[in-house]
Amino acid sequence: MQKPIIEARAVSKVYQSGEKAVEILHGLDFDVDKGQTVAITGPSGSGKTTLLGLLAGLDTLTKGSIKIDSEALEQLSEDGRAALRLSKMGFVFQNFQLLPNLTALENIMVPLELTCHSKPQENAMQLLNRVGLANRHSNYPTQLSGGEQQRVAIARAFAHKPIILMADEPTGNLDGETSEMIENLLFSLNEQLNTTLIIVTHDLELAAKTHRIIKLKNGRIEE
Amino acid sequence: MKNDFWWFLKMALRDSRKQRGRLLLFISSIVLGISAIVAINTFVDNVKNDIQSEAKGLLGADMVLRDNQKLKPEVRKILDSFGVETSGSMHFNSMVRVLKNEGTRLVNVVSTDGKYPFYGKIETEPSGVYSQLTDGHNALVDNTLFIQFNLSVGDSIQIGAQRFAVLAAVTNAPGQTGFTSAIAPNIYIANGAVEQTGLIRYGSRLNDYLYVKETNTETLTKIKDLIEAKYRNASLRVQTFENRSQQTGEAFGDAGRFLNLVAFIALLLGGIGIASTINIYLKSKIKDVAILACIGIPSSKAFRIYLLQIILFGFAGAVAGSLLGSALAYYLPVVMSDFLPVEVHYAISPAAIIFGLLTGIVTSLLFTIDTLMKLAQTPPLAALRSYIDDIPLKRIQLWFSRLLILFFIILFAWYLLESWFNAVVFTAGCGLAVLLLTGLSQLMKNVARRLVRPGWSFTLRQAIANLYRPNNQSTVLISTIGLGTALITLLFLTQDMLLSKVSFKSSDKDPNMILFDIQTPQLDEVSQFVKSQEMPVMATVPIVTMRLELLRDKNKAYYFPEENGESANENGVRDHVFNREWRVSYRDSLNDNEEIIAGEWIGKYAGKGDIPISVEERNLEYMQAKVGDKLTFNVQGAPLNCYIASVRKVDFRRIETNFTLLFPTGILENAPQTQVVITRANSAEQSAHFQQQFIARFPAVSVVDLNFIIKTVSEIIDKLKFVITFMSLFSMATGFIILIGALFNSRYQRIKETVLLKTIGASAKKLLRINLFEYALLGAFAAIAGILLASVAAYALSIYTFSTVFVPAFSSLLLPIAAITTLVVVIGYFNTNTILKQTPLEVLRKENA
Repeated sequence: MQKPIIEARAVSKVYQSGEKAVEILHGLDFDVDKGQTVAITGPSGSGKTTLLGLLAGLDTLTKGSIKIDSEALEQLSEDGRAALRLSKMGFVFQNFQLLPNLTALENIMVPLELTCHSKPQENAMQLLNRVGLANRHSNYPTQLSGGEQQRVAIARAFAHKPIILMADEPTGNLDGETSEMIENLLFSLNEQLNTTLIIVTHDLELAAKTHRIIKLKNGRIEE
Repeated sequence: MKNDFWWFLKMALRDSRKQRGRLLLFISSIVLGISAIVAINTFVDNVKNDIQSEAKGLLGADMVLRDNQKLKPEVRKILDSFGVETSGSMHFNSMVRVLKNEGTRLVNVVSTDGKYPFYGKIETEPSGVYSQLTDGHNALVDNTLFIQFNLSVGDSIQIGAQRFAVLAAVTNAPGQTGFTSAIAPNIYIANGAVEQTGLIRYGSRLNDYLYVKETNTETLTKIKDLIEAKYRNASLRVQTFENRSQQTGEAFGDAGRFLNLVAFIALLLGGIGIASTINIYLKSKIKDVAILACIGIPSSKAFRIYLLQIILFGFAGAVAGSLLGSALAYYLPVVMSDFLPVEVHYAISPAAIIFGLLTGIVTSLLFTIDTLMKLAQTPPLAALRSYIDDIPLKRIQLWFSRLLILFFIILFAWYLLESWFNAVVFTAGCGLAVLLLTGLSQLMKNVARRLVRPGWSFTLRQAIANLYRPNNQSTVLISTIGLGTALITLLFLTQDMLLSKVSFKSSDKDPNMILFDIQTPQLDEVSQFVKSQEMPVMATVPIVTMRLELLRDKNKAYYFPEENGESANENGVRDHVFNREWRVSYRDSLNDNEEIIAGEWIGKYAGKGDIPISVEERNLEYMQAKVGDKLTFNVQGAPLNCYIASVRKVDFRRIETNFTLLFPTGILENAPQTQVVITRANSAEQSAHFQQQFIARFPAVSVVDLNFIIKTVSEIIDKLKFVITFMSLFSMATGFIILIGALFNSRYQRIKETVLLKTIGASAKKLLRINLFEYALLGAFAAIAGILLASVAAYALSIYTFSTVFVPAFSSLLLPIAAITTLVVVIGYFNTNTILKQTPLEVLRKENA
């Protein structure tokens, strides 16, 4: 049997709020298999984004362990976690988070350039073409609609062929029709590239399309 | 991850592409500071190079010997024994009378044998007539005088008893500046004509010069050593061309250092401008760094993109500043022409440019270091959490950046001032100024916060609230505009103080004219003449000249065993107390402007024992003496044993014949002496008429018209003021650019709020009023803060430097407040109006793009 791509054990996160310690996540345990699509859902404040941040190594654990493709995040330095993200993860954010002063094409080129891809421009152009925005390659993010920006963000997230794609409310800022298009794009790319997809979402319809739902409530899993 | 400099550079350029205009505007705050520094350093380098290359031309000889009495024949014999070529010249003050229009003026008469100058030349208009000067009836007249009296070639002038035909105007002479000729312009006559003027008599103040031409430096050194050893106790001074060029270079170095400080302040202002504007730009990059961190490049590396941007744009600003500065340096000799002893040849100074470039980059980095550190530690989580829009720095990091800024400011100030102490004092002064201004702005914000009342109009409430709301530009605007205003205001206040220092306290009854060099036998005749012109003889004062032989029974050689070029020994005794000719008077009572501050005033000599004299307080310090100390003077070969009976404080601004040494009556009455008559002319016309008549009758007597002196000093100060104002304009212009940058920045900060207010129904007119009122408050407060700061500094200067009472004319300070407020409002208007004229959607699209 194949080893899980994500192994989360007793994951806890405590934030200090003034003198008071607030425990956001209470010893979560779960695995995610390669190629699986997982939705993390729950009400506001349940710890969804915190969990996503921990899984991506954007934040550090208070207790517990997270292994990404057998590498324990808690044993990696900040630089090590960044290197891991660069080689194995892609991100899609609710508010797109494109670099505002780079064109659509250049945004996609960034991870390719960072991973020393031999032909970053050609590859980025192919990806743009794949998300249907080849004709907008020289546009800046502010010249694109929300849906277009998210498509560029998805192209950027898949550019360096990550094994895991983390998406934080990827359709949260989009209308119904655009949301559907983005969902389709995410799932089709996931299928084509066999990428593990972790989606944080409020949208139960979107969650229903995934293989598995991790439902959080008050920092605990209600699966 | 790719750790490649070129990738970071590419990203830096890519990222800056859309905002280069904005970045350039921000960086332009340092352009003027850099250009001022490069201009001054290039200019000083050029002047120093020219002084070096024209060292001999500056002196006109290889060496000069000067005595304030006729040079002893033995001195000439020594020089003859070395077989060197010499040229003698005598310098003395006298009145000149222009016969064609009866004009009169105090001048410096320079006699020459025609051989001087050995290097350089006396340039005349018409040219080539200098050689005709040996005819005792010709004179060359300084161009200032030539213009003042509308002279033509061939016109007659009278000096003393001798008349001369004007041969030409002197346009340039070795070592001469416009500054020196403004005080007492030179008139050149032949050595042979000095006797005929009848001006060299007892008590005449003269300087006898002997210029030496000898290219062999060994011989020069031998002569110098020999003369200095032999005449150590005499007033004879020796100066070589090297000494002169060194002294002149040092003098210009001092001037350059002062101007550099003014330029450096402009640069520091620019630094504050960068700190305020670029930092807001950099803070907006926190999200970008977090996104890059999510993609896989840690913040500690991603920040290099922005570090490179700052270096690149700082470099661009420094290049622009250096180019502008190098170009300005070409024109500085024009601005400074009155103070230049040599013709300055323009050359680009690589040292000045390198310093400018380095300064530009370092300043840009220093003032952005806080935000760069924040970027370097941006958590990737900031990409997910919208509330993370600022990264708090640790206390140690804040201290590190503050200390680094302090260190570099001190380092740069040291480079410019060449003194650690002065560099620290300068930095402390700047720091204190910025602290005071920041404190004042904080005070204003607190007052504004407490001041707003709900009952006030919406416009007023919004305008005042804008002063303290988050992301307000109040502190930076008040600091920069305030500092610029403070500099300029301080300049004007200092000028007023300087003028009040040199102006004389006078009323309708006080004297305003002094007639001196009157021989005792002609005193009655002079007095009668004065009265005949319906002018009062307000006082007649005898003057006896003498030299100090012994101070506390020790001669000069005791206090100055070696000629080391120092003007004071290790105990603070000044050598000029031995070198100078003391002009003393005697009387039995004190004047109103004199006050005894130590010892006892004795007005009459009892006829026995040492003579009790009174010494003015500063001269007591020059001698490092105290009450009771013994002094021995030499009057025409006769020794006078004296002791200090009292110390006087003298208000030299009162028009009296003020003396540093005062003898009692009963001892000097029969000594050789000259007389001074003090009188008063009631109008400029009466003064001019009197001088014409008086000089015609008494050509050997000199007249000092105090009103004319005040006018001349004012003109010199005006010229100085022009130079300093010119340099201060860099600070003002920098403040202006920072103002544009800060307002531009506040537009970014306020845009959403403005658009929101507009969307919910606030009219463009109302919003404009809010903004303009806010700018008016900011401008007025910044100007007031600057003026307050300048007043504090001026007060300190008045006490510690000028020893005078500082009374600012507050009415004259209203103009800068009004001007600066208007300027801020006008810039603010253009800044706001562009937003208000457009629809909210249009603005948002454009500004976001």
